Amino acid sequence: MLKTSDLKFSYTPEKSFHFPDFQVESGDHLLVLGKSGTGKTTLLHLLAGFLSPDSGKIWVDKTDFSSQSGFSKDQFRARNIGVIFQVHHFVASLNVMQNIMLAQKLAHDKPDSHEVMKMLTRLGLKGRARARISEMSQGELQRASIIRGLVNKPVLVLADEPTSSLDDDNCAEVVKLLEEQTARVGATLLVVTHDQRLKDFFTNSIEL
Amino acid sequence: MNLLRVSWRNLRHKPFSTSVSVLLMTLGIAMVSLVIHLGRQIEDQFLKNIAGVDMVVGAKGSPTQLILSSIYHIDAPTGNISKREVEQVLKNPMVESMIPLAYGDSYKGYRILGTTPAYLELYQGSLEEGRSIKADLEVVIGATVAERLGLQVGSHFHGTHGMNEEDTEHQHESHAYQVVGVLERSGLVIDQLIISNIESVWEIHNEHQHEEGEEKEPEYTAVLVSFKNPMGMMMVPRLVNEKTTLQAALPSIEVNALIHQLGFGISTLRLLAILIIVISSISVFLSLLSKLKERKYELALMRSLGAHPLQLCLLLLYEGLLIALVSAIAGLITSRVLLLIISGYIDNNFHYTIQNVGLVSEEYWLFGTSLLIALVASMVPAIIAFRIDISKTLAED
Repeated sequence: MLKTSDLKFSYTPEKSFHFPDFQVESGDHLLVLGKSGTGKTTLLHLLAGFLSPDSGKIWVDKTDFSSQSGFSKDQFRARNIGVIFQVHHFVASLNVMQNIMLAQKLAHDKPDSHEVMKMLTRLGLKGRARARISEMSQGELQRASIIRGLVNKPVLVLADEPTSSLDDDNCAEVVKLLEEQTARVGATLLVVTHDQRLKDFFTNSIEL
Repeated sequence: MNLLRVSWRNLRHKPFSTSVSVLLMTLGIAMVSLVIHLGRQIEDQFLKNIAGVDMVVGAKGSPTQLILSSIYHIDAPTGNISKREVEQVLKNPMVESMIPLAYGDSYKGYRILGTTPAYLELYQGSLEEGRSIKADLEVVIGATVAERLGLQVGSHFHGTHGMNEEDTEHQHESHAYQVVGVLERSGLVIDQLIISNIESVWEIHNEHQHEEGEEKEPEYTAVLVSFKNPMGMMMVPRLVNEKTTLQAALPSIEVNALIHQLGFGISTLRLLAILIIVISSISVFLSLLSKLKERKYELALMRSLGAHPLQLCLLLLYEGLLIALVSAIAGLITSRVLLLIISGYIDNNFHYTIQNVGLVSEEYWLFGTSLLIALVASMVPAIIAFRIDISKTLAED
């Protein structure tokens, strides 16, 4: 479950945001639509705990996430929130498998190569497990990103502009993939985007 | 995937910049280690071989040359001195003992030294094989001589006049030396010598003189003197230098001057080597710093995945430390290889063997210091990594 109330954040007095309250039940999906400059990324960073709100609260699974600070926040995120970034950042010196296992390791989970391999197979990346990051296509990297976001079985998955650079077919496929995979671990999915096409795939949406 | 392994992979991911850093640091460490060893060897060899000699008396000339020739056997003697004159001047109550030396021949580049049994006692030389000298033309040989020339007890050979290795014209055909004993290896000059009694040297060279139709009184090349008390060192050398045609030189003074001069060269080399280590650590610093720019997304990502800022800090410190560790090991190995090469060269040219190439205490310091320097060099990049702002960095793209 994800719930926010009266979230405010300002970079400068001129550039400040006041976000609408919303609530998503466990396993439900929410689409947050907004044009650029409406604070999409800011909201995602607040929900992920990369930023702390000036005021207001965020509850993730009954935990008041916004009041936590420092490293306990980092650890809470690592264990409970999976973030899928718009740009697919990976540690360049590690291969695909090692990158995903690094996410397990950093969340203090036991690295489980068997589980990682199962997920890679499910998303058609079995043969790419030991590939270098530089050898991967964008599509492959996105799927690897999704696996990394889900590998620690989070309760909340945040996806930032997952479809903005994709054509219609691939767009539909990625949304399907995200929905399927989050459903598997029973996580709440929140997608932040300016991509109006996604309206058709989500029943719940808010506009910034 | 623990952090150390991630650091290791990061280094391998950029082989070129890593190699440059490692190469530079290896060079610096190898040089410092080499300089430490050579300095030690030189000092060690010089000081050990002074043994109990307080003063050397020889012909007038350079005092350094006198010391180098009569104690270390690495220079030409300054000339010969009259046995009668030297004995007269050393008939002094402050003189504890005197050991006469007479040079004449050599054999394949190794000196044949005529002296008394006291000479071997001075260096505590003991026989590994055979017996001590009982008659003229019998010789006892040092361990290196035995090994290099393949001589053993019972071998015979002809000496060559002077130190010319190839000169067969001046071989003393009529007199064959006989090896009666081989000395144990001592690490001192006696390893490099062929030792006979004084009379052998005289006999061979008097015969020379006879041929030229001239009778000569017995001569020494030099005399090694030790005193009963420090007063002797103050008084006797001055007496010899001022009142006679002889020269007295004090090994302790000459050797200190020599080490001082060599020491200057050594400390210049050491400074150069330390400079190289500093440059290499700057290269570590710059390469970590320049990679930081392209790696900041990676680092922010790791933070977003739950890495503690200190872990990012460690990741970079490990990279610096790994470079230093690899370089230190490679540097110490390189210095050993260079030592062996130099040792071979010195052996061929000066008949000196470098011993003890094991780790010395300064090298533990060198090892620790290199790690410390690398740690300092990676400190700034590590602090930047520590302070990375996840939100700002990830929003930048």
